[in-house]
Amino acid sequence: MYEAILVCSVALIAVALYGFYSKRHMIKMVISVEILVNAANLLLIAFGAYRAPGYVELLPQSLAILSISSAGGVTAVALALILAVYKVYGTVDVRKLRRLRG
Amino acid sequence: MVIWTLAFGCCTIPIVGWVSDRLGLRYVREWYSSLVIALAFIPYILLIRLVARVGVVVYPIPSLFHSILTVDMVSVFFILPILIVGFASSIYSTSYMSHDTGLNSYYTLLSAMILGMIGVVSAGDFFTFFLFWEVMSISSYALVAFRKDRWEPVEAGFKYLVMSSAGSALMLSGIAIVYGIAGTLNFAGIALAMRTPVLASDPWLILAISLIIVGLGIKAAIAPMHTWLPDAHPAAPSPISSLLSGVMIKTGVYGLLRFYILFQTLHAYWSLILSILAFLTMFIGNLTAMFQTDIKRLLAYSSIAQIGYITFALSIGTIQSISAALLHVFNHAMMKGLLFMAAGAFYHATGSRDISVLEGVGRRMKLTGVILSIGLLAIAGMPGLNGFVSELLIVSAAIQQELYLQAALTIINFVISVAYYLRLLQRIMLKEPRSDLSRVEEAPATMIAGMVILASLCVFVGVYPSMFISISELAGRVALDIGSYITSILGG
Amino acid sequence: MMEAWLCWLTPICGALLTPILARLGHKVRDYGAVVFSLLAALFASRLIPIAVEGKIIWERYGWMPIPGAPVYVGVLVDPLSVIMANVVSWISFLIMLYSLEYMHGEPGLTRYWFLMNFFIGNMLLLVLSDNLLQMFFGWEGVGLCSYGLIGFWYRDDRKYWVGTPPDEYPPSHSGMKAFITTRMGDVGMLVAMLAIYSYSGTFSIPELQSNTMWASTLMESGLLTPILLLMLLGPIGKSAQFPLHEWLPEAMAGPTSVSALIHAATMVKAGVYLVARIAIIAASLTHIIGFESFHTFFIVVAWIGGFTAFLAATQAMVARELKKVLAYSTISQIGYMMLALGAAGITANFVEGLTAGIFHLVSHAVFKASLFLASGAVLHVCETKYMDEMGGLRKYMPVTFTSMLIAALSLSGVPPLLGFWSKEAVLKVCFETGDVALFVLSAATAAITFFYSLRMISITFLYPKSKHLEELEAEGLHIHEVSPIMWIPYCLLAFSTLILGVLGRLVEEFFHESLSHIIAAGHLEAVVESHGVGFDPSIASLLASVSALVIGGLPGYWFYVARRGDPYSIVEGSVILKAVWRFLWNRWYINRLYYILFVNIPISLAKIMNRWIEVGFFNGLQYGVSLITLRLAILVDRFMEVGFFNNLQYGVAELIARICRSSRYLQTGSLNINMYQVSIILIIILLILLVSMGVL
Repeated sequence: MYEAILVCSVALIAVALYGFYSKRHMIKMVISVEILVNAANLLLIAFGAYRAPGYVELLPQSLAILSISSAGGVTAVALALILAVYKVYGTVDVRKLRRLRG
Repeated sequence: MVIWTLAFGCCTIPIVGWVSDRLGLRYVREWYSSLVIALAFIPYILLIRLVARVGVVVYPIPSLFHSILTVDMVSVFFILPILIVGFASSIYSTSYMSHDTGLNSYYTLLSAMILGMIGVVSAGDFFTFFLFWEVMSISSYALVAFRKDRWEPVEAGFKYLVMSSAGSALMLSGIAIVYGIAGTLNFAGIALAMRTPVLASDPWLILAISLIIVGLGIKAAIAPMHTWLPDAHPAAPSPISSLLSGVMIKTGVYGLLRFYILFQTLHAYWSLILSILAFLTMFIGNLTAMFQTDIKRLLAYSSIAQIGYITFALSIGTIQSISAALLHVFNHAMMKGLLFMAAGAFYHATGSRDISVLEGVGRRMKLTGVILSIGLLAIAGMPGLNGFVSELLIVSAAIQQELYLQAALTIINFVISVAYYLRLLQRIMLKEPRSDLSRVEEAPATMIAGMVILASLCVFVGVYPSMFISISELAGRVALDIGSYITSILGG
Repeated sequence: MMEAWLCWLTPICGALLTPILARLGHKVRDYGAVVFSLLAALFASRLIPIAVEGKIIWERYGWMPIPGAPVYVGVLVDPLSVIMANVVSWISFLIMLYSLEYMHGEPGLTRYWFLMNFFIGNMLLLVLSDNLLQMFFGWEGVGLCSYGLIGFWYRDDRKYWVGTPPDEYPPSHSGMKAFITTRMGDVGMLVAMLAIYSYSGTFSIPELQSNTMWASTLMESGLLTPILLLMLLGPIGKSAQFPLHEWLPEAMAGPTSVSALIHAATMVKAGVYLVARIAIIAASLTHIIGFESFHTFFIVVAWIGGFTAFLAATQAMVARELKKVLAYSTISQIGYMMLALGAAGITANFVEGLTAGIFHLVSHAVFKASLFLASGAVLHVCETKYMDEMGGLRKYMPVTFTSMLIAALSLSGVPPLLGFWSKEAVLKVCFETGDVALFVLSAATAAITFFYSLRMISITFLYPKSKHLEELEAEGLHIHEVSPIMWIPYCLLAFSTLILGVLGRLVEEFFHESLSHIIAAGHLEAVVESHGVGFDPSIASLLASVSALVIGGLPGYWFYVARRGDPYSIVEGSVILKAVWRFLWNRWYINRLYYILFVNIPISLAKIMNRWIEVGFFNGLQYGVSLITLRLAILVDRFMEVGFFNNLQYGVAELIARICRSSRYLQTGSLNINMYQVSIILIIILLILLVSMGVL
């Protein structure tokens, strides 16, 4: 059971990393961040269940909740930034954001 | 208690700002936030005395799932530059940001960021660590992209956000795995669990270490994960740049140091990875800085190189090298904070960050120019200023461990970096100013005040380094004495 | 010992304050600088009681407690350093006073005062420091100030050039020459210091004296003499001894006050001071490892000193510029000091040798400073640097004439002036070595010294008024005595050489007494009996000095004072004399040889190397990138145009620049690529860990 969840979350990490370097839509980048955070949360829950089978382990779950809420904050800032980018650049293609280089 | 002062500030700054806006009072909010940060020095001094007496101070945070703050000598050593640079940049902002809007949120975010950094370095478990890490990160995302109607901050801010939040998530995954192995989030508990050598080659642990190094490495701007830094640091308002470059990237270093301490059975592997990354970082930072045309971008690359030196010192892993790394963290915070502020003062006065435009501006803005020269000479390692002291300590720590090749490579990097620092100094201070700089005036008094605080510390540490060396050596000793760390937190 | 610290800190603070004082007005800046040097002199004189009582005070504080290699700052106050500090600070003060008038109205005076005070501070730091590392800081500091002050007129106006065409050099070139030449010596000295440190684990001079392990280890490995000789390179460069003496004549391109302070009275003595320190260390080690182990070193010192004294004195006989005569004579007199110190080691009679060396150092500082300052006044008035364009000045400048005469006679060793006693002391220790050749050489030098002193004084003051001066007067310029603020310093110095000369024996006794406290142990006295030439060394030296005066004085008087014969026509008439003259005039061809060896040949080598590197470098890359072909064309173009000096650096610099520029491409600016890097490094770290832990 734990193993399935663990493998699943490692797979999610891989998916997120793939998304980071292949997707050019900015919102998809933010979704990749979300996937990565969820992978971490899943790991936390799985290990929480593994350490105390049959019980609800308080510490990892609360850390997961904290992470979910902070991811919400990050997403909010990210969406605001995407809006600002759209206003300035007129695009949400992340590969068009290449004025800063060298 | 330092944290409570700043948290109080975070909560009250918007109120004070709103009220003073309504009453039409200028600069109340600015002075109030500087005052709050200045007040945080009082509990900090009490804290130092307590730590000096007790060793490790443990504060439980009420009603927050057994989470604790543990403050030992290392934390105290990291809090000092955060408070000093925070205070200086808060004063500096008073005139630098005076033409901006949204200042209520600016000062709130500023103190939240300082709060977050202090929380990170005084956390006692991963729950607290991650909580403050996110406080610090989110407020810094917002601050980098503060001038959101221009292209540069927005682009840099988005890149920074994606990379840094991905880094936090990777680190969190690593923490989850560590929890799965150790069964606790408490630093001391993890350290206790990691003492069993059986665990050392657990594949999950290896994955956890890689994730944590990458996660922290992104924040610390270790190559090749540094790519957000040269964009974000120049794009941010200058006081924020000096906080980011001066102290925020050092929280990543702090994280690496803590993990290094906790995983004491894995020191060899940890050192191997860190030293490889350190030299990559040094060379990339120094070589790329050489031909930069933007003064703040040059400073940003130089920060990357300095992180390389610090990481190298961490990777050696002796008391001398850790204390050298700590001292360099402090010195670099002073120097780089100073340099970013001076660059910001030039930008404020001329509206340009292009070095070819700024040529000779030091002759028009003499005081700022002199301060910039102090910073540049310090970071170039001139004897008598602070950079020399810690760079010498790093090299001598390497030589004591008979790492001659590494010491030689580090010295080569010092030499390369001297080239562009002195070239910058020569162009800013000695060239004839361009004609369109003729009406440039000296920076306002509050900006000068912020810089003078840091410059005087640069000189003080350089001239009288023995006190700082002995404190950092104490901190290094404490850092590596994991046994007494565990006993003082978990008891017996 | 607060005074010792303040003594060197005050001028440095004064230097740093100069730009701020300059804001308050020119008068404040000028007088402020002089006051700071006066304060240093007063602090130094507070130390005199220590020298009289023969106490040694050593204080140090940890500066950087680096584990295993702590760095200290400290002061060592013993009779030697007190004597040096007082000579330096008091003469500096007088010269600063003189500069008030002499440099009046020059542009760039803030720089001048800054460098002067910074120089004084560094020189005092050098003589008062307790460890070699700190001494090295002062050593480099004075070198830097010397470089800055030689090239003070860095715009290279024609009138500030030094030398006679075609061997004429601008001030900036001379400064560079001095800097590079002395740096060659410093490299050797630094290597030697580090070598000694690696054996002894300390830089501290008192510890090197008390801890004798390092010396015996070094001696057993046979490295003691080589390391000491490397160390000697530093003093040779700094004190302008053969073979690194060629920078000093050109150093006269600086203002005369600078020549007086740095290139006659103080900085060039730093080398002598260091050799004296080595001699003291050697003296305290002789009872452990025997004085024979230092024998070679001291023979080298003595011979370098004796030979340099002769070499430079012969060149002074034919010099045409007033300041050059003094410069050659400075080199020559420093040779005497080195000779005395070397003789100290050869005879193992350290106290007597040291006394002679330091006594001559002090007396030379006094009379040479006076000579330089007076010559500065003469140059000021006559607006020329050549002696044959002066003449007849005795009538116009009586005070300057009198003081210069006294100082020149003291230089020549005419009794009862101070120079007589010190030179006699040097000759005496030289005689005690039993080395007849060395003794004859130094006695001959003394004769030559009297000859060129008489020549200098007569041509400048006693000859009929030159055409140049008459032209000046025709232009309406009034030749007159300089103002008191200028003549008081050199008059005072000349006067003190007379007064101290009358008390000569007592002064020598004082030096002997106080310096003997440093070399306390009685067993050092007369380890070697004088190599029985048969009679008393003091009578021998007295005889030698008197006969030297006669031998040198008679022709000098005949040709120049009485003007019974025309030296020019005699030289022109004889082939041999003309060849000798040309040999001396071309400075024994040493200068020309150095230029060929170290300037011309490297430049041509650089040309060849450059072509080779450039072309080879590009051939390699050409195939890869098509863009480089274009680059090559541009480079070849530049290679033809740009001077060869840049070109050697160009190849290396271009390589580094290329690496730097290409490293900028790592910053792609694409977030996708950034994250790709992160993923890749994650996998790499994972792999490294898996492999190194043996899981894979």
